[in-house]
Amino acid sequence: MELGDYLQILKNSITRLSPVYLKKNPVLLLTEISFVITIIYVFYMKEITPFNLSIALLIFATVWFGAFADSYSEHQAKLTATSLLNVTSNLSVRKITSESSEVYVPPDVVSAGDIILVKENEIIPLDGIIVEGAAAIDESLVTGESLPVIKYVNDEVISGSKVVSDWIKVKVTKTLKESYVYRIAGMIEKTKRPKGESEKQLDALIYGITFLLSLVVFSLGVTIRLLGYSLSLPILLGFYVCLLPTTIGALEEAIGISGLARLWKIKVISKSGKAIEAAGDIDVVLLDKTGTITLGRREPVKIIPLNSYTEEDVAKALFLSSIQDDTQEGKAILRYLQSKNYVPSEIDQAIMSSYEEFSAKTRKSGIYYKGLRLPGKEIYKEMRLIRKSDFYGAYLNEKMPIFKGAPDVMRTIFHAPPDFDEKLEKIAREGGTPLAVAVGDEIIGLLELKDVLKEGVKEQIEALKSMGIEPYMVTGDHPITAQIIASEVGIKKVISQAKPEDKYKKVLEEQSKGKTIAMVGDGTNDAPALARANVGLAMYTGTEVAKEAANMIDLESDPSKIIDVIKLGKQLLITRGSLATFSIANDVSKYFVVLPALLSFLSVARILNILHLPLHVAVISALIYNAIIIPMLIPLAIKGISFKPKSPRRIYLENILIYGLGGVILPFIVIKLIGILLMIF
Amino acid sequence: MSANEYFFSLMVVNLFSAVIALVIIWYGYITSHNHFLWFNIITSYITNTNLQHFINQQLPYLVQTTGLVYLQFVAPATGLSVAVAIFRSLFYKTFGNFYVDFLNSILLLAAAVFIITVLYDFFGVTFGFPFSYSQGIKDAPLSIYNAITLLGNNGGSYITQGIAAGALMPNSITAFLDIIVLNLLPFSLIFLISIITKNIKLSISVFLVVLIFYFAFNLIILENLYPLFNKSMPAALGGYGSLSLFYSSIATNTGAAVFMFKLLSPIQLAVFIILMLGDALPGSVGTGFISLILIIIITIFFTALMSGRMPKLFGYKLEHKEIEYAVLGYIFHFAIVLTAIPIAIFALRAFNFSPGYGFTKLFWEIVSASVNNGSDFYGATGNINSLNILTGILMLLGRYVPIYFMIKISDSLASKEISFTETDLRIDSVYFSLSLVFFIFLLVIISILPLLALGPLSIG
Repeated sequence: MELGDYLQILKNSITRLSPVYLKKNPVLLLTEISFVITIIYVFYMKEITPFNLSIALLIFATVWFGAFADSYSEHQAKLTATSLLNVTSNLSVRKITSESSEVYVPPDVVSAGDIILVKENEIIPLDGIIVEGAAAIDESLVTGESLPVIKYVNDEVISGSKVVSDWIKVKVTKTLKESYVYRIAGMIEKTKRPKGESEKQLDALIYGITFLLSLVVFSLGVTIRLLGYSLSLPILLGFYVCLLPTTIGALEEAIGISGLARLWKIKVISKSGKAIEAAGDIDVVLLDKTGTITLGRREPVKIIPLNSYTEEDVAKALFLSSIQDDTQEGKAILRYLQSKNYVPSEIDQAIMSSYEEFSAKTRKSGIYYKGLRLPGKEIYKEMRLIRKSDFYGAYLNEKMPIFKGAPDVMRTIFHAPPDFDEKLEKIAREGGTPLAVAVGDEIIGLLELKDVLKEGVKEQIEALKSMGIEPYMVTGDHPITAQIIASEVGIKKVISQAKPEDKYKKVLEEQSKGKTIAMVGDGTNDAPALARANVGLAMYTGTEVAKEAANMIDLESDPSKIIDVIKLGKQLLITRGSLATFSIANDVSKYFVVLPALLSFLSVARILNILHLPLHVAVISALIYNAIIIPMLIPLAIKGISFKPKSPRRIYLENILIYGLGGVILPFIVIKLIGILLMIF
Repeated sequence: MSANEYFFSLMVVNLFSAVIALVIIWYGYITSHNHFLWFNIITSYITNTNLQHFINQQLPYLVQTTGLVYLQFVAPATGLSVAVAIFRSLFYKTFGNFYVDFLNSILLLAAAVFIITVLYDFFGVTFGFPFSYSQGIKDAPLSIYNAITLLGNNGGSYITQGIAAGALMPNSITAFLDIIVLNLLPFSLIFLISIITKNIKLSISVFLVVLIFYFAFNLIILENLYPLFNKSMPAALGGYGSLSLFYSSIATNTGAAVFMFKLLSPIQLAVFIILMLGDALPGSVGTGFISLILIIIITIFFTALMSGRMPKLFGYKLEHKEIEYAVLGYIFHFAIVLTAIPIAIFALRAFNFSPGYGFTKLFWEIVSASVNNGSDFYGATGNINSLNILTGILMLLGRYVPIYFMIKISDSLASKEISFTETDLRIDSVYFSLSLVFFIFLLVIISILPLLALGPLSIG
């Protein structure tokens, strides 16, 4: 923050002293009223003593610190919010200029009517109409249909869908500024933060206690007067301000808004502050396997030769079949084989061979190894005889299919050896995904692929469980495969072969049991579940429908962020509860510090004055403590109480000791110290 | 019945009973035609308070043995019904029928009273049949009167001197019996939760709270025991025995007098006032339980937030509406005490309320009326119109408003789903009990310490 920011905060904190603004914060309003009454009394009754004036000044300082906490936290949140909009513009778009050259621009400068180019494996950034080219487009996020559809000129494309092959030029129909995320992000600064449930509960409590304490002070004041004793109004009002839960009253807003700002810091925007609170109270969380638990890509782990073939045979065939493969998986296979030193010498020929791409329909890919005719049954047998010496070289002039693909498809095309099924099952049992490798007309081996776990996912799941949250893994995988991955990361409950509707069903089921549930989604199919769940986190790369249904959107599209969101939610609740307890516990000390001054005409004043401070010094010290504790706690309110995932019981015990008992004891010590300092000067 | 119907029926039955009692009093003619005293007596007995701004011996025999006995059945039966209805709505999601609950409670009380009467008789408390309309003590049905007074946590004993008067307590066995009878229903209700939920730990943790207060307060009381030994104590009890019985009498919100209040030291007075306002330790039959649930809800709110959860009670999610009701219901007693004190001082300027004893007496009176305890310093000297009206209103408010809030809370909870998560903060645990003690203490201290300073702490 710069000087300008501080000046702005200062200015805001002063305008916020207006009673109209303080209306929504009764504690601070009552403090301000006490200040006004004190001032009027002091000047009207001509009791302009330094003591009375310092009481008035300190009461004023309390209100002002409260207003300051408010504007400080809000300003910080604003800065974070502005930086959010930059994130949405970070994705760059290939815009076609009038001279038909390509330039990379941030999406927010693209206006309607502009033409953008989207190439293979890219996500379409903005809604539009194809003006040139045709491409296979994966619209599974939108339609739930996993097969890519081919789209031609004049077809509409929706942002969030992915170009699987070829390229298209799109005329943009909806700019980023019209998009939902942009609207939300833009609104953050302007809209008022609606109160969350726990905030309303805390309000009920604060108002109740404020009412009670007002009665205490009023009743005490009237009683003293009725009994015929003299009463110092400034001391009574000072006593009142000390008792009021000014600490939590002043910081409540800051806690709420900084909770949101912390969410924005991890690049998640939410429609309302309610969702983050709800996140803290989640019982069940649905975690998508892909993206949350695994990286969403498979890595080869083992080659399993079939029949009498060797590992090397299979490896080399696999290498040749993948040499022209541009997919993630193909590249991963090549990397794997290289690392194992299975690089065949026939690479050059393989590159020259005709390549059949992977498609969702055929579910296999490979090459027709350079040659003229398909190997017949006879020749193939011959090949097998000499394969050890010069496997590929012998068939230099043959056109031989070398393929890899999904086992179920492969076995319908190629001849499967007798041990095929047995080995296949074994892979499934271990939780792997098999890939069959075929040469000629025979399947010669299998490749076992496994999902790669995200780094640190195990610890995160452990953290969730320690906080008492039940994680469910949702995946389209086969139950056995799913179970193995789940047990690897420590998840017990799995929803396998899941369709998007299953998420919705699960959400309803858990909610009917009174549990709160969080989930992540990005597709249009997820929208009902996202809307229904207590916390629905949509991915920025997801569809508009999903984003609108969810109550939070992750601009970085990282599904595992749901765990961080839950942690932030808990932290928010803990901060709120602890500071409230602290604020109320503080009151105990005030009775032993300020009350003696008020009841100085009674002998009991000496008994109560356990700090042995002169009465007036005690009052001032208490007021100083009461005022300065607010700015001292601002950092805590903004950063949130540090919190490590552990059982709620442990968290509670630590906090009740620090903020409950500490809240009773700390003011005694600090007030005594302030008192001693005051007496020295 | 819906929550509102249940509460309405309760009010109807209570009002109807009050009218019956009024007719009896009218017919029996109190020695003075003091309508404000009548109002005070009736509200006092129907609200389970039993402030006695009169001298029993001056009350017609008929009024005592019919009207007041009747009300002493109605008040605990109402409390018992409410407690059972709240359990029923929380755990079986229905309030049931007040009239059924009420009749069952009356029958239950009658059966228990019968047994206890036999025991009292066996140990020497007399049971005289009211054949003659004389006002002598010997021929009064003392044993049965004492049984319902103590069992129902009413505390309006037959004899003005209190339950330790010679005729009511001929020996120390009857004193021991008194303590058991006093605590019977409040503790039964605590353990009823466990019978319904089949979770004994729940009751034990509540019991623990009561025990913590019992030991803490008794330590303080014992520390201040010395003046008691020098004073005249009930013969059957001695110093500590009297104090022990008195503790039970206050803690169960019975408020039956055991010895002269003047014998209490300042610290003891303060402790007993805190105990009265703490109200739930274990509290009177029915209503003590209500205060307990209200403060449990407030404590749950703090503990839940501090552990990073939203509050839940018995598996129900608590929302701001319930928290509001709980806060209002719990601070209600403090609020009326704090409001009534200046009013009383203003209205009763003839009295001496100077800090110390004068103020303590008034403070005790107001607190006692508000929480429906019924112990008082004033006795018949409190028979002043303005005080009769003021305490009458306090008793009515202090009785029915928290009941209303509690019925509303359990009604709105019952409409929700129950869910338990393994790591929910459990209220059946030692640390929750300790938290409960912490928050009860915190709220009581911040509410009444200034008044304690003006009252008992200024004595001496």
